[in-house]
Amino acid sequence: MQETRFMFIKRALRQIYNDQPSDDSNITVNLVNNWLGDAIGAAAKKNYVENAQMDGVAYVNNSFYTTFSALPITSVDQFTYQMTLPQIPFALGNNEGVGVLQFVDPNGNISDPAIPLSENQVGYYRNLRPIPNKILYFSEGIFIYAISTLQLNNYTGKVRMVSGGDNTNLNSILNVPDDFKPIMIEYIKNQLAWERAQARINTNDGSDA
Amino acid sequence: MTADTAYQLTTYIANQFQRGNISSQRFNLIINQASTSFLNYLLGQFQTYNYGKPEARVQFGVNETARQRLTPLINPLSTLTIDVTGLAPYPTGFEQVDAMFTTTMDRIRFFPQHRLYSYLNDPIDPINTNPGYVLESGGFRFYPNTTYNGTQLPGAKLSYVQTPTPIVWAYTLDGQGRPVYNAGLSVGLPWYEVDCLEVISRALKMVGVNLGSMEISQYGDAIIKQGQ
Repeated sequence: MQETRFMFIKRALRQIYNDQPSDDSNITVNLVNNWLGDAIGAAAKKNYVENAQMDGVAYVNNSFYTTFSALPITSVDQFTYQMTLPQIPFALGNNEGVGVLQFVDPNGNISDPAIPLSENQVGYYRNLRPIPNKILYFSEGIFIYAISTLQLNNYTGKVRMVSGGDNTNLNSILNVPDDFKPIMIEYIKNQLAWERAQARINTNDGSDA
Repeated sequence: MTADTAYQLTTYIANQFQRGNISSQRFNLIINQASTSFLNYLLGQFQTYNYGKPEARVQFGVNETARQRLTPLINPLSTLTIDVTGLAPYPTGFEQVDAMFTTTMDRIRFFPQHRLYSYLNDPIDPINTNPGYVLESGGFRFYPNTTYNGTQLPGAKLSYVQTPTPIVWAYTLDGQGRPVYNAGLSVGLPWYEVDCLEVISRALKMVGVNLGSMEISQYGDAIIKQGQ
């Protein structure tokens, strides 16, 4: 059975509470879902480092990637178009958080993948001869920028990036391979067990509690 | 257990010590207080809290056995009607909240007043999708509500511990003016059979004080502290 985010979260809560959580429990599903992003990042990073150590090449396994479609494109500058990503890409290598960017027209036709630029390459690409018929892109925080002389407003973006899946949908599949879930579990357990183990001051006397 | 059995038992134990008699009116007075004391014990007494950990040795929900002892006082879910200010009066006989749900059986959390600000402004668990209530003298105050932010809960479902039904040893007077037990008008103990002696022993402690009898008090005390 495929594990959804909600199933993983319930698994974590069962461990933290050593039971089903009560209706007044403060470590909520949404809270664990928030921690999940960090935990997925820790697992992806571990995979990246392990691959570099064992194979001599740094990469993230395919299982960590998720495709997000229908990202709206807006023009923000001359020949520059902007899309908002579902999350800030993980800081893997120069720009390996985002693997592939393509464009889709209203009829469903898909472009060739655009060419990624690292942050330094963004600085000097304009001094180079343009690559014919190719679109360049780079990511910056939550945004991804495409550089093209073509009008991209009528297209939508399709991006393949390292991500645990859709964090707004708890019933979506958690896109992490099983062999890296123990890393997530350890991370979440450490954070939330620590939160739960803190001594609580329940007084309401104006003290900082 | 019927009121008469409890009365017979109470008077039998007290009379064994040749200290005096317990009238039916006095019995009705002390047995109900004893019933309330036992309820207090099952809900959790502050006096038995552990140091640094506010949990009583025995308290509501501590395990299935403690919960089961209270089940005669827990009715099926009640429906609460919430006004635009979020207020829903306590149901009749309300003693303590067991659980609170939305009409679709999602949870509604308890918010202490001094943490209400944090709950209302939590971006992780937004109040509109993660409702809660505070306890006030007039009833439950639910958040969100129309007055607070324009969002109204359609209602709530409550599981609660209710006040025990008063125990009554009812009687009619015979030709000599003596009380004769009236089973039809009497109300028995609302507890499970295994717990009835717990209630009676609490009543006996009061009898012991009233009669100045250490033996009766100690007998009641032994059952309360060491078990039956």
